[in-house]
Amino acid sequence: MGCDIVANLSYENPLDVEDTEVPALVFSPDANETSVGGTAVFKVYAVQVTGVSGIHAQITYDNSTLGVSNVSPGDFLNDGQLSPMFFTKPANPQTATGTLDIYYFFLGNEVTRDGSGTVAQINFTTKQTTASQTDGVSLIELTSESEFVDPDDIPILINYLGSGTVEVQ
Amino acid sequence: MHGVKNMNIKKYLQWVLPLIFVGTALSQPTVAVLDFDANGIPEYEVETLVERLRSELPNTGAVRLVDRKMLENILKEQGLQQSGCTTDECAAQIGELLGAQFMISGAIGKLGDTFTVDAKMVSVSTGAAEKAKNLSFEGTVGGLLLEMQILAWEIVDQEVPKALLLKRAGEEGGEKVTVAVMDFDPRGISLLEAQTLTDRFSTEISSTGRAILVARSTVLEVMEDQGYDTSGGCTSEECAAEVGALLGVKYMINGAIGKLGETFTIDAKMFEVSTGAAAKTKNATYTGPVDGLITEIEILAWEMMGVKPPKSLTSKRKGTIVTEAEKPKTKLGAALRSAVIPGLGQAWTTDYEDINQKSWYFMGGEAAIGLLALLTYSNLNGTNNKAVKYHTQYINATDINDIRAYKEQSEDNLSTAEDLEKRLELLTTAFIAVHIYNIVDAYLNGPSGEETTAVKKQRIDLVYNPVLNQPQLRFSIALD
Repeated sequence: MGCDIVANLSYENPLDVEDTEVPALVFSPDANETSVGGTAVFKVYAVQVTGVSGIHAQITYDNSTLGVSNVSPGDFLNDGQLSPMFFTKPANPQTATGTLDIYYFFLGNEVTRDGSGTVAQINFTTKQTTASQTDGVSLIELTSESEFVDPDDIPILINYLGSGTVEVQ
Repeated sequence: MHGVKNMNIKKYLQWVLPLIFVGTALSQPTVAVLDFDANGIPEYEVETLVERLRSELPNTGAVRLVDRKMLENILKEQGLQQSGCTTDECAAQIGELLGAQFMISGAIGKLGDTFTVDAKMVSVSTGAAEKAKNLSFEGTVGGLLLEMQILAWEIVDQEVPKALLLKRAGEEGGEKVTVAVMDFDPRGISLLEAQTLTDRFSTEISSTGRAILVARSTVLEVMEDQGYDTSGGCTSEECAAEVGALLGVKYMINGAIGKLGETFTIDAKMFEVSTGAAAKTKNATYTGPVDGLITEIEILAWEMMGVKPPKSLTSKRKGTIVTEAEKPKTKLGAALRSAVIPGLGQAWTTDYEDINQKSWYFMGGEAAIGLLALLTYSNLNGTNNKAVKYHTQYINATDINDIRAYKEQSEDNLSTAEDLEKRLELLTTAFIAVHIYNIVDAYLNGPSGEETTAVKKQRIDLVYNPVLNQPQLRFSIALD
C-alpha cells in the first residue's frame, strides 16, 4: 500500500551539480524528445564559475542524425550594458562527427562574470536516419576543448562537462 | 320410588342448601361402569382403558358415577365376578343393588392391528340397552385411551369437547399440529383491519395442510368464557397460553401488525402451549400498496408453518419486502458480526443486554487505531504531494539556489512521507491483528446451539396439565 503512496523521485536536473563538481559546463535540459525533422532545443549553461571573461564551448554530435539549425547567445555575459563577442564556428558537414564551436567573450577590458547563466541556445534538427537507428537516440557532448578563461586568458578549471541526448519518437 | 326420593332431596336442598349446581348434580342419573370383556388383549389393559372411561364420565356433567369400590363390594356380596356378569339382565340386577339408574358394560377386542370397542348403557329399571356405541381403532393400545375418553361423552349423549376432537385429529393428522390463532394486535391500523388480516393469515395456515386450525369463533368463545375482552383483550402470551390450554391445541400463534409511515410491519410468534417456549418467530417489513400486505401475511403463514409458499402467492408480491426469521445464534454468526463491526459479535451474544467491556475495547481500540491510520494516511498523502510539487519545481528550475532549495524541500518531504508510510504499515498491521483477535474472540466466546435453547427456555412456564384438565404454573430446573 505504502509503496504506491510515496513517489519514486529522481533528482536529475543537469544544473544541479555538487559543490565538488563546479565550475561546470552543462546542457539543460540534458534530454530532448522530438519527431523526425523536428527541432531539439538545448541551452548550454555555465555553472558556478568565478571571474570568467571568456567562454569556449565545443560540442560534438552525430552529423548523420543531427544538424545545427540555429545558435543564439545566452545572457550570462550580456548584462545589457556591455556587448560581449559571440560567434560560432560551423561544423564541417562532410565529417561523421559534427563539431560546433561557440565563442563568447569580452574584449580588451577587465570585465568578468561570476555565478551561473546561459552561454548559448542551440537548435538541433533531427534527420531521417535518426529514427532508423536501433535505439533512436543521438548523443551530444561538451568536449574537453571547452574552457573558461579569465581576463588574462588564463584557463579556469572546469570540473564537470555535461552531455545530452536527442530521442526521436 | 326413586323419583320420589329425588323430589324429597330437591325440596330439602331448596330449603337448606340453595345452591343450584348441587341440585343439578343430584338430579343427574347415576351410572355404574362394569369392567369390559377382554377379547384378544390382556385384562389389565382393558381395566386401564375402562378406568379412563370412568374418570372421564364425571367430566361430562351428565351423570353421577357410582364409586368403583362400592361396585366391587356389591359384586363380592353377590358372589359375582365382574367378568361373570356379561348379560344385560345381570348388569341391571347389579345396578339395582347399587341404586344406579344405568349400567355401562361392553367388550374390547383386537383383530389384527385393529382394536374394537363395543359399549352399551343399560337402563336398570327396564333392563333394556338405552344406548350402544362401537368403534374401531387402528394404532397402539395407548391411542385407545383418547378413544375411551371420547366414548364417555358419546355414550351419555353429550357433545364431545373440541379439545378431545382436536387431540384426536392431531394424532390422526401425522405431521399436522393443532393451532389456534389469536387476533393480531393492531398498532397504527384499525382493529377491524387487524382482524381481517388475521383471518387471512388463519386461512393460509389452514391451506398449508400442516395444521388443524381452531375456528376463530371457538377461540372467541373460550375467551368470553374466561372473561377476556374479545376485541384485543388477550394480547399477552400468558393469556394466549391459557386460551390455548383450554382449546387443547399444541401451538398458539399471536402477533402484531403495525404501521410506521408507509411501512407495515408484521410480527408473528408461534409458541408451544404446554411449555410456553417459542417454536417459531417470523416478521416481515413491507412498504407498498395495502393490498400487497394481504399477500405478505399469507406468505408469512406458510413460512410460519415451515412450508415454502406456493409460486402463485409469491408471484403476487408487491412493494418492498424485508422478511427476517429469527435464527438460532451461532458462533459463526458472532464471528461474522465482529468481522463487520468490532465487538458487535460479543454484544450480540448477550442480546445487547450485557455489552461487556471487551466489546467496547474492540470497538474503541479498532476505532482509535483506524482513526490514527486514517490521519497518518492523510498526512502521508499531503507530504507526498508536497514532495512531488517541489520536485517538479526542482526539475524546472535553472537558478542554482532555487534548484538546491527545491531539492532540499522535496527530499525533506519525501523522507517524512517514508516515515509516515512505515507508521501507516505498523498501524495497519496492528489494526488487522486486533480485528482478527476480535473475530476469534467472538467465535470462541460466541453462543452455541445448546446455550441458545437454554436461554430461550423459561424457568417458570404456564403449562396445560391434561390429567387435571387445567393450566398450571410449572417451575423447572435443567439438570444437565
